[in-house]
Amino acid sequence: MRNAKKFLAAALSGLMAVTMAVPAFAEEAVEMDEVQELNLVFSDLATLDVNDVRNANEFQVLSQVQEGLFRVFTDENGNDVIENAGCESYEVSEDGLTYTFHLREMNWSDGVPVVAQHYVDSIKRLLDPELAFSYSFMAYDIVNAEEYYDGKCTVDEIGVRAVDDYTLEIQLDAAIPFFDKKLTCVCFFPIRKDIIDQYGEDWATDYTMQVYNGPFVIDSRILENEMVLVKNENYWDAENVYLDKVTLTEVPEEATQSLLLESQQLDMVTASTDYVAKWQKMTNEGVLVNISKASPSCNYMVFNHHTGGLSGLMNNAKVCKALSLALDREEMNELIYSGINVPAYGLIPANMMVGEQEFRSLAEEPLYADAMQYVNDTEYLQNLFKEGMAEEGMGDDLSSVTLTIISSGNTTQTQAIQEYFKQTWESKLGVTVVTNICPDSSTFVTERNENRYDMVFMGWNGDYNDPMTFMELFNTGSGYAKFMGGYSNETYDELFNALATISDSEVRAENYIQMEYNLVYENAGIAPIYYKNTQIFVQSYVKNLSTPMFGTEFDFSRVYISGKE
Amino acid sequence: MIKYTIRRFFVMLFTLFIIATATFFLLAAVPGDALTARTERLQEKTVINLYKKYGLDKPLMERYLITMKGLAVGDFGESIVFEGQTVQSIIRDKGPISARLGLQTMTLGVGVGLILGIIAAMKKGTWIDYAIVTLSILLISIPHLIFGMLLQKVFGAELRWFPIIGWPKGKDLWFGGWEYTVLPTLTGCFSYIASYARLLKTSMLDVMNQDYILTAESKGLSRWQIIRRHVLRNSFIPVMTNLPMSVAMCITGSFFIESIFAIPGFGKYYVEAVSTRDVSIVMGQTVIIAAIYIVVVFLTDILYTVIDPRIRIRGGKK
Repeated sequence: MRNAKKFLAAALSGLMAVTMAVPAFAEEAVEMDEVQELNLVFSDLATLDVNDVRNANEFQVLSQVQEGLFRVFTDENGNDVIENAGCESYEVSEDGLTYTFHLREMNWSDGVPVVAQHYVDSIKRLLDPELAFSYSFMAYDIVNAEEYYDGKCTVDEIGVRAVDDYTLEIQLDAAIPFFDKKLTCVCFFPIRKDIIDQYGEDWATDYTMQVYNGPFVIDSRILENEMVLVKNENYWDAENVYLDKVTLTEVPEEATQSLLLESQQLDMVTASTDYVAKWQKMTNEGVLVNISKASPSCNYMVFNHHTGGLSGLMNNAKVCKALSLALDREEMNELIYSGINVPAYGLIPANMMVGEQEFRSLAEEPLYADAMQYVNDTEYLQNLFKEGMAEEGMGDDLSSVTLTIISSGNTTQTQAIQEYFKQTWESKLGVTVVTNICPDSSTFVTERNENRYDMVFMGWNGDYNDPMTFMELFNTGSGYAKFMGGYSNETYDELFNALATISDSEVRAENYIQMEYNLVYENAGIAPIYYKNTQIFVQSYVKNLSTPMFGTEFDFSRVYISGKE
Repeated sequence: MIKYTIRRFFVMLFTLFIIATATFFLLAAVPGDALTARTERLQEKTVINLYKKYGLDKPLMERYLITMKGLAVGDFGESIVFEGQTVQSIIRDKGPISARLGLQTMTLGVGVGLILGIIAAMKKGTWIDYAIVTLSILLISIPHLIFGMLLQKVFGAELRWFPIIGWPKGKDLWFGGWEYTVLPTLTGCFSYIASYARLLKTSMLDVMNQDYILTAESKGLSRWQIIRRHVLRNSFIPVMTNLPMSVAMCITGSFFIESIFAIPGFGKYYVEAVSTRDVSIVMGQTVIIAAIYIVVVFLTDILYTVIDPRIRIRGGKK
């Protein structure tokens, strides 16, 4: 049966290749190559369970083999476009609390229809505290979701239900205007409970037990080495899927990746700084195409507000601000990151939206003006630091201060970053800086959890397209406090709590602006350093690739190959 | 001999117990555990639930007892970092791949190494000898990584004689897809060539200085006869000490070679399990590899007597 199916699939795709010499979407004639195959590098997935997604690699593959209510593509300007996928349409009630989704008629790869109950099962399973899924918090906006996770109510009380096979209804606690954007996350994709129950524990890691509803299916896998995806002929939008085969290989060495890229055995890579120059050269020669994409991320120095740090100075706004202003972010970006990132003077990166407005177009970065003025004014910086010391009753002798930075990973780059911090602060402020580079992340986490540090260089990748994904890291009692320094400020908390009942995006934006100012400028609770830019290099024959900001790094479901031969 | 074997067997069990216990507590003493990296950026309550799920919230001694009970019946437990994988499944899936790579590398490396060693010893003091010695030092001091990448660049990317990455799979697992194995095998064999050439040369020179060689010469034996009958056999003792261990350790693979050539072997697990604190995998690997080691040491002892009848195994008899 399996073989027969495969044969049919092969015959069908052969037929497709002939009939689809001109893709449906293109106005001008596009020559498509005979061979429609894509070769990528990846690191193998720890799980194939959509509810259990953890890292970028799982988002990448699962988003291509499974499908939720929406798919995210990018338009010609590189902006995210959310398209209806699993749902054909949806409406939000006037009070903003009820979302009703009208599902598309489509099938799983085993022929069973995808119905609303599969979405309901998924949300309930995502919130099961015993299964402890990393992304369970994404569903907390739903009525009784967090209560169920905390064991305070039963699973049936969660505000999600299947009205009929093709109508899904979700009730929210508060009107959150960006809830639909959250639902693009892989963790909300529908699941097949019958199959999970049938196979038990092995299901999550064995691809042969999976059923798929996305553009591709997993055809073969050598654990932690290679995974081959082939086109899902049962996919509802199969006519817009041109690739017959996608091979993902685990190639840990970047030098090897580079060789493969040069000999066209690899079709795209995400560049680290070491190879940017080389690949940029190939881009100039027309071999590669460079896509520079703003990641929804901010990297910043966290000050230890839990205990005030080993120095006891980290809860003083003046001390922290002096440290923050002393950093030359432009220079750091050039020296350490070959200039590929964007210096940060605020918390919220570009392209983050509040309603229909881009947040950064509404607000200047709060630290920018001061940083420009004082970055090399050592007298001002030292006086500010001394004032802070005096407030804490620590005298005014800068040379008596020792600050400890912890970090993990012993790469050349981490060392360079730590060295930069040390040199800058020692030379500009006259304090002593100790850099404690932990050999591995386990050691690092232990040091951090036991508060044996003053500062730690951290970062955050937003989970959904609203500034809230960053703001919720810094309110008092935030679940993230342990690794984000434990910032705690009354004004910030008031603004944060008020947001729970505000759905008007202009008012929300106003709150966000004040919160960012409060955190980054007024109290210098963190020192933003840079917004990450991802540099993607793609072979010029790979067309129609989407690189969304959220969710998966690439959506290659509509990619086609033209001009490789 | 039988008594000796039985005694060695019980000593082996005891040794394994000590090794397992020491590994467990050493791992526990190192900061962090299998979930720290994964829970680094998770909310507190999710973290608590995760620890509960994997049983890592239990007290240390309880976990020790559970682990040891499992070890006693050969159940090393499932990987926490890579769910669904056990030490057995990793060895089953990845072992043959590393073993083929290891055996090919070793056969080529040891073969060439021994020949070079013999030549160097026979041509002692000539330019050939110096050339071999210099080459060995060079080969042993350049890391695998550099060699591998150089070969990859020249023969893979530029000349296109061999694939840059990959390894035979499916029915080609043991005897096929040779083109994939050429570069990794070459990369790995250099260190064997270097160490075995030097080892055999030193040992042969040692033997050649013995009185009985002088006797043989004075008997009028030809140079080749002396080498074959007297020198080689006697100088093989140090080679024999090393060789079984090289064979046994083939399965552990090579982290670097596997990672440059994207070979789905065992080497990666050997290194990564420790840094990720994947207790069940580390325990399983340590115990299994220690067991192989102990058995091989035992076999080596017996092999000595075959090579050199003067060596006797002394058992219970006094």
